[in-house]
Amino acid sequence: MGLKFCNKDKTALVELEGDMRRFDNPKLAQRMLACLRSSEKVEVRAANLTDWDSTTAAIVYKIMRKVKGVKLVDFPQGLANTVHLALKIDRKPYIAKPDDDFFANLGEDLIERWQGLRRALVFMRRTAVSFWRLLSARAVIRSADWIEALADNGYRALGIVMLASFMTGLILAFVGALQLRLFGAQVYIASLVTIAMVRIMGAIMMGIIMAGRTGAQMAAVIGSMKVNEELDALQTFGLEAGDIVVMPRLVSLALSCPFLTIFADLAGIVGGMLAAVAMFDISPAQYLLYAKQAFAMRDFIIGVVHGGIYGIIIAACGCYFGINCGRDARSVGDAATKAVVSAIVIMIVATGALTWIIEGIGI
Amino acid sequence: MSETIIRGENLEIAYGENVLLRDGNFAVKRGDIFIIMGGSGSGKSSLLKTLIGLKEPKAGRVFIRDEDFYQSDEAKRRQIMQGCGVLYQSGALFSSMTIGENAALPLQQYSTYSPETIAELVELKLALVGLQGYRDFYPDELSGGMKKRASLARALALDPDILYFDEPSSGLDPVSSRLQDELILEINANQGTTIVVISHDVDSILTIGNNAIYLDGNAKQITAAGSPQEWLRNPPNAALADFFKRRRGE
Repeated sequence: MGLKFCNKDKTALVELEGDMRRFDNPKLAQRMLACLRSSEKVEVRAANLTDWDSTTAAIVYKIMRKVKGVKLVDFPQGLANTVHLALKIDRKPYIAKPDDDFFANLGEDLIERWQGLRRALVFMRRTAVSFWRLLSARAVIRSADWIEALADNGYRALGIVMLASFMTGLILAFVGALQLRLFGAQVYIASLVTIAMVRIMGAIMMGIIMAGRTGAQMAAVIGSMKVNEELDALQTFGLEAGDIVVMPRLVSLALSCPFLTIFADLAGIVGGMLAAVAMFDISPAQYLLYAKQAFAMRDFIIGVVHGGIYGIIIAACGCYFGINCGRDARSVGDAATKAVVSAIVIMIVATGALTWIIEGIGI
Repeated sequence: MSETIIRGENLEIAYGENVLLRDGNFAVKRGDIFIIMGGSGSGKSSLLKTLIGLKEPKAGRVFIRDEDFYQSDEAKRRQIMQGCGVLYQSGALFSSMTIGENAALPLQQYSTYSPETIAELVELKLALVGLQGYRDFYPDELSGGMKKRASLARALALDPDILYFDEPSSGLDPVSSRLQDELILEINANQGTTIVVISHDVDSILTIGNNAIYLDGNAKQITAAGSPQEWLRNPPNAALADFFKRRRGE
């Protein structure tokens, strides 16, 4: 039962016998091919073959591809036809040879980066034009899209933003108090937490959460619209994707993020109070008094402005990567990842730049 | 007389209160090329979903190789489906995998073959559908017709005894559509595979089908069962006569 072969006087004989279903002996098949290569004539017989499946056909197909002058003898019609069908269409694809030249690769990389930058600039220009059309009431406005975007980017995100900020305030208070306690100044936990949360931490926590939650969702939804040719349909209708797809998301996020930042600030201060009261024997009244003293309207406004700017960054990244997504499932995943990572990196860079500008002009 | 391999008994398929098919009875014999015909919205795709385990019928039973599919437990259903291959309308290839990896996936999952044998089988299956040499290509590098053929190679991986095709000629030009039909006939003849095809392409139906049912979208019932070639000569009802007439542009 199975596969037998011999090679005499440059004439090879291969015998397929018995039940050859699920034939799985690659070493034997390799030896057989090595044996057949030195022959001028090959005859493959299947007179005693009782059962076959694709593994049998794969062996015969391999012999016929690797060795010339093969004759099939007493083959079941189905098996012979299957092998001939596999051999019938021998269309080799054109595969471009990869270029290993360092300078060519560098050039291609630079061109790709330039094209990426160009796409980003085109996106920004189109978004600015759409914003102008919106302000001048010339854009197509679907109220359902705006209501949904405001709800999704507003109160539905409130819970998770507040939870993350509450925990951040709690951790800040705990870590800060461990140091402040060394010289009996743990009462200043309230000042530390309030200044940190109001000035920047509330906005940053809100930004990171919204980038992961909403930025990724925007890129995935718009990417899926690209895959389903919905964006192409908008274009052929003469509608501007910026008006219908980008504006509701961008404006709603730019409006809702400052409010989310205020709630994040509050949650962080309350989290800090919990740590101070529970672990460092500070009364709630004392904590709130020091928090009030540390609170500065200047810091608060700077934090809220940061929140708004983060909202614009998150929406721009989500929409940009969604619109420039490929047309398959993997590309949608890539777009979502890129939207989140880019938004977070740009937010951090923007924070540095804003701090430098604010301090530089002395606001 | 060949045995019945798929049987639907008193099937009722519905989405909530919206009933698509009532009292559906039909039988597919081993080795048949069985066509599920009907106009748009008649419930063809829903019936296919019911046959491949994606949509439980509201009432009635589906027997595959005499096993009551929806009365079987999860492990049994999986075992039944291992003997079935499905070619989806869009191809449904996994975009993160190459064509070769797509075709190898069922073999890696459900067989105990060595990697070398799996590689040989993948070469054979891709060659059978005319995609020899495309093993390392990703789906987005292929045309629509090639994606369908690659999907067929994946469906054929485990040597299924039942193959389901959801509108195999949709989106294909007439030449590619004819080649697809020839491939279906070859697979059926060479390996004795039972083939169930959803189609409203009359030329394709008449070329490949030897048994069929007609789903009437208005009556929500199977209004004819038999040979499509015979129906062309003597339509059993007015809806079917109209179907053939309009689809052939007469």
